[in-house]
Amino acid sequence: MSPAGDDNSGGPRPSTADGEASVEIAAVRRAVLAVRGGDKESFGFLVELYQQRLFGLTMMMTRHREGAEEVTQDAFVRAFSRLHLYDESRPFYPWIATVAVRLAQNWLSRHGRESKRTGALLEPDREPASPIEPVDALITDERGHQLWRSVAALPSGERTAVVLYYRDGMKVNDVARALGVTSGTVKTFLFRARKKLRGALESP
Amino acid sequence: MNTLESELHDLQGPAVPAGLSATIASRVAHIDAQHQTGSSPAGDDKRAATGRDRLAWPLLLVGLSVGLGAQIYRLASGESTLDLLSVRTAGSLQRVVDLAQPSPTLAVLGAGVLLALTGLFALQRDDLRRL
Repeated sequence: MSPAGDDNSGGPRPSTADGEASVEIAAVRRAVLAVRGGDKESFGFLVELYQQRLFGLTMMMTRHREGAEEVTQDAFVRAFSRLHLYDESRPFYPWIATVAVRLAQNWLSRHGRESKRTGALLEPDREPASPIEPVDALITDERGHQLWRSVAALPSGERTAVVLYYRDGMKVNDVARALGVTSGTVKTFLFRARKKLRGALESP
Repeated sequence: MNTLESELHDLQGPAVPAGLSATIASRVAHIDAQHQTGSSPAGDDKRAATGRDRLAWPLLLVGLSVGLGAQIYRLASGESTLDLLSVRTAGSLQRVVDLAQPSPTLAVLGAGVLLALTGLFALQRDDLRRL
């Protein structure tokens, strides 16, 4: 295994290292130490820094706005409660993303059972959403909408792996740990996702 | 990096709901306040469950002791005889009728059984709650 971890996904690496620039890593470490030292206000810095990325991740996983909001909140609250378990020698985002992924998986499992019982659709926006949906408010161009919708249409494991690996710049090993699968499975997810996305984006 | 991977790297997500960070801050402050006072809903439940355990076990033991004690006293005083075979073979209905006659020892026996059952079900209820 290389010092940087097993990173042979079959595709080039994103430019960020573990999704965090070195300046960001230092700032995050200071904030974590401050929170541990009793300065709870410093946790707000971590929230501001990661809420956008984490909400995008949970939104992609749950495909449900209220669900994503609930999971994002819970992920931050759990991270705060268990900050003593975080190893500050490692990047913060993969740790909190793992927390969020597990909570989103629980949410999906819980709501899957509920929707089966009630007959309601769990994922109403499984089909490509309308470009004017509030969910897409931050996506500024049509290509961005199309890309988001194409990724959102992938199966759960594939779309989560794509977000964590490409958008968030996490290593394959970290993505595998977050998803609770092997590195080989993550590479398969990414390979299949790329293939499907090429097909979806190239079709007229 | 090809075009698709480059685009995925720059994948834009949905806007964060308004007030998300404020809600998180409020929840974190609430948790912090609970840590400061050393209480939490989970901790309160645990303490209550421990209290019930402490009450349930003596109830169970006292009930069993009273029930068994009363039965031993009935045997020792000759009020009752240990004759398990006869219950099955003959006169079993009469023995049940005799046993059901009101008497102080029967009342003590009943109270003992009631206490034992109360303790037993209290323990089971706690076990079920923890599942």
